[in-house]
Order: sequence, then structure tokens, then C-alpha cells
Amino acid sequence: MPIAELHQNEKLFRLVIRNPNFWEKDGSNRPSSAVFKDSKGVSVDRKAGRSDDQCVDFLINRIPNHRAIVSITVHNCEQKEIFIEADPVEGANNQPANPYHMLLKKNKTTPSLTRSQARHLAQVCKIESLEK
Amino acid sequence: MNEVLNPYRLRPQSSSTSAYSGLLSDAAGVYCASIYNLNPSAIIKMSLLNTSSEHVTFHYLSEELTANLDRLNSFRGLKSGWNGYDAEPLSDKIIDKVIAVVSGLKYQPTIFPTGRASIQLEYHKGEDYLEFEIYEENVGMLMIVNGEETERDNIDISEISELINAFNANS
Repeated sequence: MPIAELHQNEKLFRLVIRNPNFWEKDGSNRPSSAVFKDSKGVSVDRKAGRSDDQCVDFLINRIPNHRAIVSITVHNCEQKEIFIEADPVEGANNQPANPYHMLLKKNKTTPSLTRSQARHLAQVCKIESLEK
Repeated sequence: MNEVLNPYRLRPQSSSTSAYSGLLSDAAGVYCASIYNLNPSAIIKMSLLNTSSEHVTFHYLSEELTANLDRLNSFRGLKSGWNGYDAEPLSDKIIDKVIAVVSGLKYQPTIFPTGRASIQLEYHKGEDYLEFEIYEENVGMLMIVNGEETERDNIDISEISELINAFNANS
């Protein structure tokens, strides 16, 4: 999906698991940039008109062992030229459907973000939900 | 007689000094030692006289290093999808590689696994930041100093220690 169909302020949600711990020890109360490193692109769920609570619940219900839900915006991605690709999951073989699924990529052809891109997302992400 | 004992963590004598004392034991007997101004990140090789007046050599692992080694070893149990998404397990090869790196560092990092078969070592100093991302076959780096970013995709593993010491020394 071209970025033009996503508006600048639309939130993109990602889950942070509890174990192993991904929370920084520097007192910033933020996750490490390691949260935003995945070989196939960083999976996020777009808000797509839902409430923030609905987005959080959708993630929590699908993925156990969570520590936090964080969000970034489309604008945050554009600040570091991160490519956003629509990747809806149809649901099969016990995998639930996820029409909101997107991938954050270094660029159109390279899935893995740069370290600078990942660090930027970790610095700007908003903590939507945090478990103790 | 020289033998390597199991690593043992020494207890701080007081909160106001970096002096440590501890009891160390092995099958041969009990030893007592006091060490002052201990570098908290150091591996220290010490020789002591045991109760039989024999020299015994052992390795002391700092609390920080021990915690990092425990954390790295815990990564061996990570299974497919461990991050809630598509992360694959981390290989013993990469975990052992990072253990070898970390064991030789003067300053201990904060360590995180990633979902792209790498392990990340981080240092924070105010707004400044240093990160090494260690893969099986190469090492990448991100450094942010005074707002200026430097990212390198292929550094020699032998550079790591020097870069860390320089980053931590410039305070």
C-alpha cells in the first residue's frame, strides 16, 4: 500500500515481549532498538480507524507474554525514510487473520532496518500499554 | 600447585568503598582474601596462599560480567517466534561468540537479542550512545556522540574493545 494511503499521524502498533527483557536500564523507561530489528521487516499493526484500546487488545489477545505495546506514526517512519508495506494476513493453519498487518523496511527492496532507523523508532515510540 | 577454581562472586565489604572480601572454597580447603579498589567489570586472575601454603590461581568474575553471561546463556532457550513475531532461535555459535567478546571487556554492556539473528551490546552516556550488533559472520556498529551518528556495517571484532574504552573514557 503506498504511503499516500496512510495519513501522517496514523499510528502503527508493535508488541514488546516480557521475556527476554527489552527494557533499557538507563532510566529512560523505553525499549531497546533491538525491538525494531527483524530479518523480514518489522511487523506492526496499523490503526485503520480503530481506537487505541482496540489496537492494544487485538495485539495482546494474539501474542502472549507481552511487556508493552508501543506505537509509532507514519510520520516517524518518514523521518528516517522507512518504507511501509501493507502485508495483510489472511489466516490459515491456526494463524489468525490480521488485515492490519504492515511491514517496516529499510527501503522498498531491503527488509532489515538500519541501526539508525531502529534506534530512531525506539527513541520516538509512544508507550501505549506497559505491564509491570 | 596451580589450578583454576570455579568462579566465585565476592561480596562488597561496605557500600562506600570498592573493597571486596570473600570466602573462596574448593575441594582443597577454604581461603580468605581482601581486595581493594576492584574494577567492577574486571576478570581478575589472582594467586593466593591456601591454608597449606600452596599457591592457587583462580579467576574472579565481576557481578556485571556474571549477570551478562547468565543472560547470554538464557538466549539458548529461545525458540522460533520468541519475540512474538518471526524471530528465529539464536545459534550457539553466535552466543558463544558474544560470550567471548563480553568476557574480555573492561566495561560491561547492556545486552539484547534481536529478531534478525544478532545480539546487541549497548552503552549509554547521557545523550551519547554506542551499539554493536554482533552476527555470526560480522559486526555492525552505531555510535551517536554529540548528536552526530556514525553507522558501520562491518567492523573488525578486534576494534570493539578499543571503541568501547574510548567511548567510556571521554566523559
